[in-house]
Amino acid sequence: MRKLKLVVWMLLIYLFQTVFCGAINFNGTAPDLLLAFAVIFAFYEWETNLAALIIILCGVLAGSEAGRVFPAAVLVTGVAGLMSRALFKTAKLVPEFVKIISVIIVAAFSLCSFEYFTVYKSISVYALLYSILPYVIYTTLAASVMYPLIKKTLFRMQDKKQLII
Amino acid sequence: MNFFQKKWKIILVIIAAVAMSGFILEHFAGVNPVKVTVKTIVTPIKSGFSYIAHSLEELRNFVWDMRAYKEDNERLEAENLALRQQNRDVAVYREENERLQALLDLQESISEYQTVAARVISYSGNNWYELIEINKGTLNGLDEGDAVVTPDGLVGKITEAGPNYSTVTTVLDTNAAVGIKVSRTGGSGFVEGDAELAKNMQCKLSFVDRSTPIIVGDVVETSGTSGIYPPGFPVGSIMSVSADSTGNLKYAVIDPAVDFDMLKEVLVIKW
Repeated sequence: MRKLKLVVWMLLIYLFQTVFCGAINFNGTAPDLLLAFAVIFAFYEWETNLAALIIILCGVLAGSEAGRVFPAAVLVTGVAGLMSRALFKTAKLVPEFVKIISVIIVAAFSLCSFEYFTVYKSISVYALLYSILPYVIYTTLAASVMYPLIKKTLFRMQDKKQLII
Repeated sequence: MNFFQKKWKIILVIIAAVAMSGFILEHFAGVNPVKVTVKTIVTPIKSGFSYIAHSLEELRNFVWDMRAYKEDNERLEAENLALRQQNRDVAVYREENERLQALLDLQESISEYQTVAARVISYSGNNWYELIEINKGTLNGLDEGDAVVTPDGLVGKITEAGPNYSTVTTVLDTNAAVGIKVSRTGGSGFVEGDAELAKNMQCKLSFVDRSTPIIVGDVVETSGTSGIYPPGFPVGSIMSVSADSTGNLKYAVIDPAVDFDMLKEVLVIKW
């Protein structure tokens, strides 16, 4: 059942990211739902192999999108997933949500900056304000919405430990 | 979990390897087989869902457009209503202008008489226009007995003159009697009101000598012999001709020249 939920989640996110992009596009900026999903999932997932598979899959899917830089997408999504997982048991005083959002902000910023640089060969203040920051903010907002939904549908928390449903 | 566990190092290496292989292949071969494979697999799925997405988008656009169409429709309806009103006003003004122009032409054509133009302000209570009221009276120099005409013909005469109004008894009234002559033959007679005929806005031509030839369609006009009406104004045309019981006199039904339904302005001849 959980695997099915995971497949549905992946499918929905991928479709929203690609086919239904118009529905989530705001002022020319679409959030990176795959990155957000990879980070949130990797944070809570107990099974290391599954977590690794999902973050690599998210990276590959993101990199395969038209206009994306494949190596950057795979690398940033993968590393962000790993960082998220690494943060799960460290800095316990920091709320989980803050940890996840922090990783997403850094990853989104890195990825968008790299992709912008790849296309335009430079990064200006204009690019930062009108391209990179909106992307980072929008991805963070999308992650904030997805966070409770993913947590509720894919994981059950008990005594601060993940239980696979 | 120790982030530096061997397993996680392997995963990191895999990620780096996938990314690097993608980079190297794209850079040197121009094609990334992983990207191509992923795209090949997901394209049929995306195609199916894109159809749904396009349908939904069309539906949304349709709903969106409908709102715009509704606003346009309401605006155009209001505009249409205003234009129709304007068109009606223009038609009324044109009609009024034509009537007044005809009245002016009449006034100029009978310059030997002193005339006063007046507007019809009310009709008699019944439906056959035996009496009408006009908006000019003694203050305008009008008096009882003055003849009332339109460019079409004779209306009647003033039977009551107030300071700023006058009552006109039309040729349809049973008390009206107008001396006439048949334009074609010059034969004389009297046009009188008839209670029954007045219901159809008609009057009666009587006291026509049997020897006077009259036919349907003949126009009758004021003769001026009675001294009540000036001569030469059309009264109406013959609709039907009959003989009385003695067989010596003819009488005919007259269709008045004036359309009492459309009576708006008249000319009073101070006679």
